[in-house]
Amino acid sequence: MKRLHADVAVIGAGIIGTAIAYQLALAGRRVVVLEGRYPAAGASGACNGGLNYIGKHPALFGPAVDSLHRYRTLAAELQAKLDCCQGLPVIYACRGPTELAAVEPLVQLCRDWGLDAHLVSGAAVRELEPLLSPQVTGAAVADGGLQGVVDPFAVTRAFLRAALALGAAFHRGEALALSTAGGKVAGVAGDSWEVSCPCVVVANGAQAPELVPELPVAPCKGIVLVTERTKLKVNGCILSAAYLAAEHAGSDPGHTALGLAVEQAASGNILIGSSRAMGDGGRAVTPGIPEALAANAVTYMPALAKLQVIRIFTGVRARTPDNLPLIGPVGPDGLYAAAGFEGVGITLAPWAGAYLAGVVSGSLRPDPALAADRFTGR
Amino acid sequence: MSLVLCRCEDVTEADVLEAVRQGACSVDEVKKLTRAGMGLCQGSTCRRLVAAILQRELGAVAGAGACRPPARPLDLATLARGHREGVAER
Repeated sequence: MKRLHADVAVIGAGIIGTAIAYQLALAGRRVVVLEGRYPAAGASGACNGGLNYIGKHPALFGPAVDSLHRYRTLAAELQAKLDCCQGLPVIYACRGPTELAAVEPLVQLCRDWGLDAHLVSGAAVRELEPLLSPQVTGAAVADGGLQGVVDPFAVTRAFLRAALALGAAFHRGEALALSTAGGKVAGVAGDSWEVSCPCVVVANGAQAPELVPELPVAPCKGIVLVTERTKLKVNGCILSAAYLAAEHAGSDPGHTALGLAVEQAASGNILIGSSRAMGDGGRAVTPGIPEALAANAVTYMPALAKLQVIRIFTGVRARTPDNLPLIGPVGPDGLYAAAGFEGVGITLAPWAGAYLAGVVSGSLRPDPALAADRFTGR
Repeated sequence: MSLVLCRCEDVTEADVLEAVRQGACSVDEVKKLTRAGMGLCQGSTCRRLVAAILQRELGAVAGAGACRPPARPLDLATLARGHREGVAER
């Protein structure tokens, strides 16, 4: 039995867990990061890496803006190459006035925060993104300089490496059980190891309920098509009004919601999504979904039709009943959760790391809207 | 000059060894660190070579890496033709 001692054990080396580990290590805590597979093996490494503020829930808007400001200096802070490109527009493409009316509140929320966003005509949005079809009659566009794309795998590795440089430890092993003593956290154990620590942060996404059953996190599978590297340029992040509806669709198991989400990685590959299969935690490609994603992409962006699709990957988001993350104390003293980020974890990670470290140290009062125990009470 | 293992993404044996030195111990992890296997052929050539290096450097290897559809590249329009009514946005 391998025995470790720490001030804090962070379970899950995804982008959220490593961001938290980095901030806690920066605050002087002895941190051990526990990971059953490898860094960013879950949702963090199976997504399109978008950095957006437009479209965020009002409770997450401030955190998203905070996080995007942190991304501006993150590569220098972590001394790492993150393939972070900010200053790209985010476009919600609309077909018809009903869809345009549906995205108008997103524009208003950006403006309430003093950030650039506006509704534009079909002609104006095609000037910004010539790949869009004439079927697009208008769009909500936010072009405030903060949004863009990042390599989420690189960010996760960089947070982890920076935490290790500050004295944190990394242990490969699946956390199987928490132990408590007198209503307080005492540690966490795997099959051949245990960590003694007064504080545990559960940041393993859709697997969180395996350790803390009262966390209402359910899997939500997404499927993404990856094209070959291309000289075609996608200008920012292209979403559809239906994407907004899909993101906010009910969480009923068995329901699948589709919406356009097209972005280009720094490598030149174009990533085409998105789907949300509620309650599905498998990694299999569901028949019919890639075809629907392809048809949808060709409808909105006809020039993509000739590109070769080289890979179809799946990822499992962690989704809560109200689709807001669970972040803060839960259950016995010393236990914290940071899970359920669904599709917003990449954008929010730098904020989430600083926020949870603040909550753990007592310097920040947790936001009740995001409280990890809001569904169960304490 | 180090041997090129992944011709699609220009990844060399030295790149893979550096990933192993950083702690990578599976083909998928090496892929995400180096891009070996992320190109047009999706690892048809290099997946086994990376697995062999892991075996040589670390002994036992956990799996040969994930294979994902499509088995060979197909254009988006062809994939879209497989779409049936009923699976639409929303």
